[in-house]
Amino acid sequence: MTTQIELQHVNCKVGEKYLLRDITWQVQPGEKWIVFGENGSGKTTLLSLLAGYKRYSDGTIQLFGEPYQSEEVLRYRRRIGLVSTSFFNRILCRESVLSIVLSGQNGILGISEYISNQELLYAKKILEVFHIEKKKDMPFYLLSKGEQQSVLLARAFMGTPEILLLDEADSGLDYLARIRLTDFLAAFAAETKATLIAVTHYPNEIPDFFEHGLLMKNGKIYQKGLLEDVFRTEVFSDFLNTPVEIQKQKNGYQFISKGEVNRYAELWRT
Amino acid sequence: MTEQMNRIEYLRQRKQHCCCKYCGGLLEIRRVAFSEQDDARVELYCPRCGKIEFGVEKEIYAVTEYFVEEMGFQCYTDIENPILQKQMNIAKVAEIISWGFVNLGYCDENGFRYPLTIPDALLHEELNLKRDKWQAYKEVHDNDDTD
Ligand SMILES: [Zn+2]
Repeated sequence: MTTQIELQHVNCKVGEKYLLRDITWQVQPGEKWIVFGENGSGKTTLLSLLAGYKRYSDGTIQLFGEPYQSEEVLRYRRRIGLVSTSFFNRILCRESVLSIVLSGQNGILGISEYISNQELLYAKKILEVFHIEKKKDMPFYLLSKGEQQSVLLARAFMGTPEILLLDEADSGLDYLARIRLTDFLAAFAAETKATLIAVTHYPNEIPDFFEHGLLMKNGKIYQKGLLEDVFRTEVFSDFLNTPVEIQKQKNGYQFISKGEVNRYAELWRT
Repeated sequence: MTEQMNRIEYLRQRKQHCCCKYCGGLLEIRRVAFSEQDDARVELYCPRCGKIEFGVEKEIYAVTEYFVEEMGFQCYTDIENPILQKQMNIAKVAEIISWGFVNLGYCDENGFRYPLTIPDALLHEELNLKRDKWQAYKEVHDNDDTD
């Protein structure tokens, strides 16, 4: 089996600052990864780099078994769906929902040629699946976080992504939007053989089909491997610099803080 | 867009005969994403609206604006901002007219395929003025380059 994503000692620098440092990571086709890390740990950079929206400074990347070629970037973007409101919010604002979704067809960010009627009908069908067909003419910035997320998912599915990258897709969603996302991911995992890499802030809501975990800290990989080896009490206490106990649950992991309650309680005890 | 035609060249040509379907302003080619490839980083952009915009033929915008203003076309009653509301109405009608023109074979990626005869009723002073303005803009911006 060809390794789908292979990064060897990849650095991503802006000026003197390292956004990513010495990233070595392999992903096999169909694997489901959870990426966990604090804000600013490099998660969004890693995902936007894989999806062909960001440059890397050095190291080597192989995608789909071939060395990364910048002239192939539009092809990569069609094969790798990126759903990241924090990335797209910088670029998309007043664009209409329908044009954003249609732009997923070609891997660019706008529409660049006349859209065929089949493409238009398909885009509308996808918008219906994600419950945003009524918002199709609205500018992106007027949508709720959950609706923006749905627009970007719909955009990713204008193509047939072999790799889906979800950047904190679960944060800032209301209850209904979160249920819909969970259902969507369950269907995606069951019906496709695609790879899924999801950044989350909620390790207590990890669906069963995720089997790998990647922890990031300060632009570096802190730990990677099977989820049960990564989501362990010792690893996380060290990673978070605070004592926590982790218990496996039916869906995800329960984090039990050890000691912080007492620390805060001191406020009222002195 | 023909496969042989470079995307950037296509965008350059398009910004000459098209305008923003929301505000009617001139489009420019702007870098919006990081990539080593120009193809993957530039888009047609309306600086007035601050958005990526494919545009419509300028003549279509002109008759559309007339239609929305004079006939009082309104399909976005739930939008509160009157400027946004008007722009979205114009964009919607411009989209419909463009769709019709393309599907009837009157228009393709390179613009109109047949000479236009716009009825006198639509060629009111304002529209003529706008045509002159476009021509002036076109001359000024002909040398615009990609960002
Ligand atoms: Zn505009």
